[in-house]
Amino acid sequence: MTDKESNPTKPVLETNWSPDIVQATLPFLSPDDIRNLSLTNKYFHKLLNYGSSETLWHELFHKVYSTLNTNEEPFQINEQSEFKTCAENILVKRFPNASWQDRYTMRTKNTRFYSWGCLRNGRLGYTLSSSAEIPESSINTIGIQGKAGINSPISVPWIELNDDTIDDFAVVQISGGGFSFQILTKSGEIYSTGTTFTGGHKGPGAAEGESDYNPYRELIEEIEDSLPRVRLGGRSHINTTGTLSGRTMLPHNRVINPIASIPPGVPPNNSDFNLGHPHTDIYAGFAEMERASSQTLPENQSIRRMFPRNSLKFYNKTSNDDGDTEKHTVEDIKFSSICSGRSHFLALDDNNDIYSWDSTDSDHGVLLRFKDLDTTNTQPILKIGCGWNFNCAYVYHVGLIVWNSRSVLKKGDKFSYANYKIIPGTSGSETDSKVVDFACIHDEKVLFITNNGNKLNIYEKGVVNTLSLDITGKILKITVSYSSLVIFTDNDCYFFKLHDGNIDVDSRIILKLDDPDDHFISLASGDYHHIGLTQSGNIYTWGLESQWSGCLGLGSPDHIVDELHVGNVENHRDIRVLKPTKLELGEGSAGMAVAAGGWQTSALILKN
Amino acid sequence: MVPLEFLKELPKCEHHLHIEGTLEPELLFKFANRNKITLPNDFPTTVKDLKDKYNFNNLQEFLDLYYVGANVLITEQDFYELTMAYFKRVSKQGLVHAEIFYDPQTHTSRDISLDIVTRGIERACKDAQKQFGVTYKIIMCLLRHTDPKDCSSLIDDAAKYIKDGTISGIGLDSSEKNFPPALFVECYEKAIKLNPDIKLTAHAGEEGPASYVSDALDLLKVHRIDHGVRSADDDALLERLAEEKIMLSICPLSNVKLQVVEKVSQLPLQKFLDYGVPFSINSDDPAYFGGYLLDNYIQLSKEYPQWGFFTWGQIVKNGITHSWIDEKRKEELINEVDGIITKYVNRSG
Repeated sequence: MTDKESNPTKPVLETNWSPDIVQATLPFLSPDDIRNLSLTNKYFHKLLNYGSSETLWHELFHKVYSTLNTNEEPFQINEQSEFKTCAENILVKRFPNASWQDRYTMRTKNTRFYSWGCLRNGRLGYTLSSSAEIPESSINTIGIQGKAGINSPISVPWIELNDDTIDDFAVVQISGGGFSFQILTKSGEIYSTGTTFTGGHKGPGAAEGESDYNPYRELIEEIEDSLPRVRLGGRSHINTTGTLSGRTMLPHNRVINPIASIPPGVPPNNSDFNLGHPHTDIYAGFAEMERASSQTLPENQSIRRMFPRNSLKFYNKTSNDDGDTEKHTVEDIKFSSICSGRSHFLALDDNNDIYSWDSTDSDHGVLLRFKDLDTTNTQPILKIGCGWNFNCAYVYHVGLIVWNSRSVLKKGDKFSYANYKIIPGTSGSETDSKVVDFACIHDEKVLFITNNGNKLNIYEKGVVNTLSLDITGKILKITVSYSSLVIFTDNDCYFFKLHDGNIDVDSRIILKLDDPDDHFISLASGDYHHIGLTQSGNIYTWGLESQWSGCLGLGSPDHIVDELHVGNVENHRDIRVLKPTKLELGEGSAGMAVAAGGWQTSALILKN
Repeated sequence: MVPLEFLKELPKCEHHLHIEGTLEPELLFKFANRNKITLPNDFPTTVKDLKDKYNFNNLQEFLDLYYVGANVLITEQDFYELTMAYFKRVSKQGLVHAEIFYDPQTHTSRDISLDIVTRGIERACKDAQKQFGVTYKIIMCLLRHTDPKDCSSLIDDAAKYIKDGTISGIGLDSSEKNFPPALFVECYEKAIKLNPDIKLTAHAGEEGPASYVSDALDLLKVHRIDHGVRSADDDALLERLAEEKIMLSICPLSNVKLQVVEKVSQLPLQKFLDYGVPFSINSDDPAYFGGYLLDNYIQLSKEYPQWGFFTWGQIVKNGITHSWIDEKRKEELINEVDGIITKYVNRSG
């Protein structure tokens, strides 16, 4: 019997739960649960009142805008009394007198996604022909007309945030792949910039030589099977697969702007060559699939929504469809974090399921399962991370796991099994051996640090070794890219070059800023360039700007070399900037997050 | 409007011609009889009836014919005769250089070997060069609706021809939508590894969006775009095509037949000229789509009457300049164009 049953007038929790306990419980409640709890009685209403509770707003901020489920942020270490993520650190430093409600509002309403660098494939989330407002001076040109890239942060055309859209489309997280950026919204949807996130290169998906079931190809085969067969003398009927030379025909009422606009039912004019009449569309099935699975932002074709495969009907059709109890709809799946490799990305949803976008053949994410692991219950996935060509996750009570391939999906399969391995000695949760942070290089090579923070461990080919580096202080966080390793200690921020995944111990640089009161708290790298975010919300870039791509965001080549005097031209079209150089974000602006990949860079910037 | 004789006389290059799309009814029946192929019951039984059928009314009719057509090609001699018939016909229309597409997967899927197809086409090309003075290149196309790993296997199978230059270029055709260029990056990279000098092209921007054109350039590293009419949707892309001198192989009559545009005059060719985007004029699948090379020129001259000798000269010179032929031959052909322009300008003056 509960207290409530024994005394209905007395709130059940008021007498039993102290504020400390409630506060400790908040991280495990959803915003809706917190809201409901606040309505149970006066005590909780006061404690959890959205209008006045600092505790609640801070927790809400932490929940919505922290990236705790990726290796972008480390785990909380043992002796930390209060753990703050990068965004929290910046807002506290930048707006010390603001309430958490104010900070939450600023982050939600005033923060925008900016990008710059190489324009190829629409990877910046806009093109020169899109609605992005790009000043002429921000375009790097090669030759008379060639546009190489964008040399300063440009606001990516996004859905206008108002009372109706703010809860869905505020950007929570960004991550950078080799050819695109991935964007996670507050409503748990994922978007990807450009026409391809793979660049045509295979990710850690189905094993080499294998392909997932593809309903598009199946439809093609059905169409071809419906066409006439020809019989050869002395032989059976031969197949005609693959005889669609050239292209398909367009339906008679398809409108292609601005070249042609043909009203339905109106036959084209015949020319002297008897050009025929409108054609029927036997490819209507493709159009239907495309409608169901392709979605771009309004007015911005360069940002596409990324759907999970199991939310799309045409993947899930089986012979006994009625008995299918695992059917998902797009609305069922809400993602909570994303991370990107070179040609792939991972996402974790709020059911603790991992989805993998890893195939050149499909833009739809594959639900992953791990044989012998109960990841949705007793062995939840706490963090995900992507390397150049593989994935890693931290699983509660199991430790770090890595995989670079998964089982192939056959027709009707709802999920794929990741071919994972456990990194030995990483399962500890109570002692100094608890993993605090990890970073993924390539070929299943993983760096990780533990709670005692005094050594850097490297996992490679099934074996864990300890690395000895010339650094001082306790290691708090590590970040890796294709060509660099950054180690954040409680003293300094160390930068090392990577060559083929190996640390060049002689390349050590301590990243120091001119401002002694500021320091880096987050860093991202593309192929050859780096972007750092400081505790004050300042953004710095340095490294190599290849082929005048503009990926440093410091302005035109002439401006960097002749006016700022921070860089030199190399190989005619590259610019190298050695020292971290501050980006001009505008008065009152602050960086909230940074991402980079390939020859492109992005940031979430708060414009106050 | 320029005179027909002028158009005929211009030394023309063709860069977008599917050899399987040149199968005329006469040859179809000839090959079917020779190879003892039983045609479908409802298939026309005379050349005249089949020619009438070629004025098909819908896609299904076209496909029915096309599939049957492709299936009568069995022996090396069939491919030889098919290719020779094309050269014989078009050399009379002022063709001086042809870069021919073929789709091996169309034939290997019917158990016709890559060697039979390739040798037949190549032998005809060599003989045509001797007989008609028409130079040639052979471009092997990958069918983009097939599994990329099948396309990759085709590259492996064709390695000897890619290495020895029999196959001068790799192309990409078939259904564009849903099969973007990114799918074929590894195939193209494999071809380059086999022969760093191989030329690359891809169908893009016909039914697919302008971004397919950009992606073909960025991801597949193509030297040319086949069709590319949707490039006109993106001014920045047009500037890029002009800057990087990427030629579009345009197929006017095909575009009308397939309803990319309602009529030839709706093609954005003037826009291409204004931006300085080079393009050439081609026939695509001429047996099915309403005309061979010169027919395309003639139709354009009717619907772009404002184009004078110099504009036509520039178009033809662009085709020559972007052909995969040596500089000496280019110079000869360009001089020939200039001579023809001078002759007609002086005559009309």
